[in-house]
Amino acid sequence: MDSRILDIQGLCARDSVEELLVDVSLHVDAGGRTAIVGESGCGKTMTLRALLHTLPPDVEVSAGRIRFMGEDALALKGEALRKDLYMRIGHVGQNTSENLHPLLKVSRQLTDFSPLGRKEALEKATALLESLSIKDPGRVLSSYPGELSGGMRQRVNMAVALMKDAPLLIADEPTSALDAHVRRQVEELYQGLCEREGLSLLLISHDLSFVRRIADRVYVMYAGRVVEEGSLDEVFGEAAHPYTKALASLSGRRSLDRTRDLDEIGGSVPDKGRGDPSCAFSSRCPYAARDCHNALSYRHLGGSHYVRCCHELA
Amino acid sequence: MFRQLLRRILAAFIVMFLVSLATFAALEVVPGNAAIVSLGTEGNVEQLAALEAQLGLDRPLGERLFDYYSGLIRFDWGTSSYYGQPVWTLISQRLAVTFPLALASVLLALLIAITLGTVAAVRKGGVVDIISRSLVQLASAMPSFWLSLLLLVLFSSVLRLVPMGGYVSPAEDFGAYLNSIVLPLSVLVVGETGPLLRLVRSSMLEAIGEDWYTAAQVKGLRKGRVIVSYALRSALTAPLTSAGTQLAKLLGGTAIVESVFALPGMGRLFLTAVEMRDLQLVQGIVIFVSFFVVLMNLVTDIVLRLVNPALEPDGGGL
Repeated sequence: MDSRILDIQGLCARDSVEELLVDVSLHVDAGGRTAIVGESGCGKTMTLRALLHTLPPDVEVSAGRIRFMGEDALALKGEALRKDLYMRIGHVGQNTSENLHPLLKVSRQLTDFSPLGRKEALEKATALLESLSIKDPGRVLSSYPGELSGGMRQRVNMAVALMKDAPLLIADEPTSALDAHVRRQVEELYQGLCEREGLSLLLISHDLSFVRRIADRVYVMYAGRVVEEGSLDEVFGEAAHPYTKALASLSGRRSLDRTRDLDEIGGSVPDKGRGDPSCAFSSRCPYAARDCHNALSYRHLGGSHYVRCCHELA
Repeated sequence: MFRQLLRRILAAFIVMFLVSLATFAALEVVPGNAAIVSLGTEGNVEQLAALEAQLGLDRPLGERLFDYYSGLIRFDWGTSSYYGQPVWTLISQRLAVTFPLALASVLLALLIAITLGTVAAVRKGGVVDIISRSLVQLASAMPSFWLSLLLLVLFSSVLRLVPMGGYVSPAEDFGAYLNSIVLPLSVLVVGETGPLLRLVRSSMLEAIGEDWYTAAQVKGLRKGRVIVSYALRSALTAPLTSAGTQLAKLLGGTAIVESVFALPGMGRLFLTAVEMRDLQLVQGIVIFVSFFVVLMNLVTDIVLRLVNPALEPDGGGL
């Protein structure tokens, strides 16, 4: 049981109008590197937000459970939430430029939550920034976030996440919104991090080439559901879901977004009807047939490879 | 920081110069002058000419303007025709009554507004939010003279806890001083808390919606510190600015409360000056209050910059 540091089972979330997440199950092995991929609007970030208790006020978890390090993460409250969840998860959020308070110096934001004394915390922050290839940590520490470049701020966010020596690091789109050069550097930083002993990683990314280099287990999400899961080789080597195939064919391209159609499959991720039993992808699927409309069985393909599609694709 | 401060101070001086010039010009344009006012309807032309000569009103404009400014700088703001005392003496006496009252009411209102506004925003829709919003509605619906009378009836007539009115200087008897100002202070606080509370609540709600608010919690900072050192830091700009302006306004604007409670303050002095057409005194009070507004803006600005050194040179809604 405790070989899994994070274990999400049957998670459902909905707002007042519709289902946003339907029966999402995924896990991160202790020391493992799990990635969630899919277009924008597939529910990747929503899943994370359920874990971190940061869902929008009108969204609620309606079913399922989340276990983190053996504890029921959904039931945590107040000081226990802070100690048992937030202090044990390093989270690098999606919107890097707005995760830092604009009126507080970086040094303060890097140290104020640390249980270490101020001086020790500052030494640790300096060392961390150095390890993230920042040449002049002193200058960065005494700056306000607005005085730093996007790449610098991303590193500061990583340093915030790493300050706690948390066993699980969560990175939500760590390389989006960065230019090619900086993205390359940040990717290398993550690759370096993954070689550290005992650190588990949950990565959310559009960027499949990055996922291929870093993850060992992959979940593909579509319209609020997991549609395929397995080891990196299983999912990308023997993709079984038409959606995964479409994504994989795009891996040369850097990013996927909702407004741009996938190459061979038109349309976009549907917002409505996620709770319906029919396959949400069928309207865009080149293999769609009549029986897709009641085909939601999750099929085991061998190993740890599962797919939510009724077709036997070669 | 230092250069910005110098620029601010310079700008403040320019505003003060323009205000005093405008005051001078206004009194110059108004028909009648101090001599006509003090003679009333009984005087004749010879008496008027004599008095004008005595007051220096017959001299050329440029000369009088020069005198006006050199007087301003030396706090020689002329003599009140009604009271027969120097204007500056009158103002400083009345200020001793009004300023502590105004300052205390703004500080108390700010304290209440920050506390309740923060709780109301953090627990939006909760008990504190609902009750404080209803109270704000109630307070803004009550005219201050009516509330004053209500308090007087309750605490003076019925409960006999405080005197009916009048003022005791704190140097004379501090306990009696507190008794004489507790009701007017309450009325002022009730009036000022509402708008400040609304400001605190709305800017706190804005801060809570920011990404860094959630990020600070997720990184493991205690909730109390996220609220105080992160959210309040951003949310206080507007309420502090408003409190500074409020304080300056109160110096000239507590006339109603002062009248009901028979306090010898600035507001009543101003009323008397206008009623008695005491032009010198009106001029003095207008200049004083506007100088004070400029000064308060400067002070608020400096305080905000001390709290938030990273504010943009001309940002912060000032």
